Amino acid sequence: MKVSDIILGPIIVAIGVIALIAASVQPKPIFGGGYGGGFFPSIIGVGLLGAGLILSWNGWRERAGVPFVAFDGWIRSPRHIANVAVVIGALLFYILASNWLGFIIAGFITLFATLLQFTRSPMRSLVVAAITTLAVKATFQDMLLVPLPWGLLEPYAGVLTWR
Amino acid sequence: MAVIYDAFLALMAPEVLIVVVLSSVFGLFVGAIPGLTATMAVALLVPVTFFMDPLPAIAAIVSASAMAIFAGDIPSVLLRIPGTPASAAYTEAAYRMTLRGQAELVLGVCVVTSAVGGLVGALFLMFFAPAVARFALNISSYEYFWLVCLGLTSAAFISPGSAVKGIISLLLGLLIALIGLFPVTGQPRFTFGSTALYGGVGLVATLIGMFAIAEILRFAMSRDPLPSMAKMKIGNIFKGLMPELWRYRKGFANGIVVGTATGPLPGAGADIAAWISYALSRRFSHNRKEFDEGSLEGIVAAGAANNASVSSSYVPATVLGIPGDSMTAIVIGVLFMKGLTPGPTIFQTQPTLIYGIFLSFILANLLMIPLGYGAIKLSRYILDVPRAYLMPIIMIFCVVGAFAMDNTLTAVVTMLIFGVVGWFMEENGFPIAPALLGIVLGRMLEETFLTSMIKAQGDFLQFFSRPIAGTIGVITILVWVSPILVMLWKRTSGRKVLA
Repeated sequence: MKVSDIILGPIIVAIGVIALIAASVQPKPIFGGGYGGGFFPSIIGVGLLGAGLILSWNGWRERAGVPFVAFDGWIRSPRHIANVAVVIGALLFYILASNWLGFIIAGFITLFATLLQFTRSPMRSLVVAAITTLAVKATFQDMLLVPLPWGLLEPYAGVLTWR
Repeated sequence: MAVIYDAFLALMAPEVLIVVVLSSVFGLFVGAIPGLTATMAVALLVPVTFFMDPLPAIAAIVSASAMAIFAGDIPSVLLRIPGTPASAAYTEAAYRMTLRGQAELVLGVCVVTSAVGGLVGALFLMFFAPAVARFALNISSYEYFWLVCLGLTSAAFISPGSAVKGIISLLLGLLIALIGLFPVTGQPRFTFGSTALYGGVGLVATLIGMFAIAEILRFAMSRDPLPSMAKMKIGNIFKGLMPELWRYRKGFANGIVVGTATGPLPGAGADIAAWISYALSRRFSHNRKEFDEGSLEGIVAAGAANNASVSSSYVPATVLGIPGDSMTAIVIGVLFMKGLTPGPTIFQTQPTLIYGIFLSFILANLLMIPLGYGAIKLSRYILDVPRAYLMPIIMIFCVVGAFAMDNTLTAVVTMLIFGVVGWFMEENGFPIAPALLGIVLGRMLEETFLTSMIKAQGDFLQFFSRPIAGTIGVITILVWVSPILVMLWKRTSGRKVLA
């Protein structure tokens, strides 16, 4: 997705302005020559403002030849739109559900859904997702002691851990 | 010498050796697969290194990155797709030779030049870094401030694409670095009321997002099928190698020198080293026609240059704590996570560790020949791994890797956000490296500035009061104003032509 500089420029300007406003509400220091938490953000805000204006100007000069928003071929292919939606959806699902379902279930679903979308082969996806989930669990939870959430499987945590 | 011996013993510990070999294999695998870059290999490795001692952790990163840069050559030769951007300079030449049936020779040249380039870079690092450190012991926050400024500015200007977009990318990175507690007063800044952001935006989650999740998104959208691999049996890659290397010895040496010299420069990474030395060897080639049709001349030079630059890029990273590219930025992040502050004093406080890191370069480059040979032999299988299976597996590793850094889902959210942001930025020509350097160095820039200002009691001219600080300051400001000067010069010369 290519967005014209004529749109991106003002967005950068807006980020610069927000940085400037946020910097101005930072508390003023009582020592150190008056350089508080707002000093650096305000320099960056000014920089973004200036660079955003230059970008907008570049976009304005090239406005005849560059469309406002140009999508690549994938946007016309339902399969590819679904690919992207599944990747982002699977990650969002993991973020929202992993504490409740636990890593083993949520991770498996995340992985299985993405594999199925990419490969269109349910059996293989199932096998690869199961093996990978267990391998990740063994490496990170059992060997590296990362406290991955147990969720629904918490009552069986003792049985499912080998150390 | 005693320190080097101790470091050698530390590196030879069985658990360190196992880590080095495993991460080398990992680096070779990731580097060989087109679309997975050396930086991504390192970003995926960081969560695992979090659980190691400092030496094996950095040795793992060193070996994975060196191997990945070499392994990028394998699909260049066989598929005409660079495995990592560092191989892009000579992909065309390498593939043309493959089509003429010389794939074995090219692969042999790639592995040997990479190993030798990396070794020379490592020796340079071992002998040059302590000298720089002795010099750096005398520098104060003023010099640091200007060095960080110079590094960041060069990163923004050297990066491919438009300079304005490079600068915007850098400024956005700096802005992100300022999220968290303000170091002087400890007040929260830009945290949006979330206590999870008090410690700042997680570096590792950001990295994994920008380099791995963004790549998975690109794969999900990609409609281009992989080109078929040049069908051939790969025999002895070392056959007839020595005469060819001897024939191009000058280019080989030039490549090593260019790579070693480019590595420590701020903003210049392995890919820039390869492009420069490829362009130089083309410029000085006696037989330009043969060169353009695809000859070993450029491959020898650029293949050595990219690996030499990987080694020498650790000079500013370890001695000054200022990374030159995204890979060393990660290394600095890892050192900080281990409670070690990179800087000139690291030679006094952690001599065994720092020499251990240097020696790990030598080890990794020596291992490159047997392991690289194995990877070439297995290349058919590595390149045939279906990415439709690989990408979801990488995705789940990303999730767990990001989570492992601080055991909260905030890191996974950060990873997803930066994945989308990284993808969008790259789609629209905003280079990623300046943003990453901004995130890593933002804090240092602010702290060195504020420390200096407090010392100088608000007098900005103090930044130019010391000879080194003044010199670097003037150079930095010249770099800043150079685009304006160039523009003015173009305008005036344009007017003269019109007149």
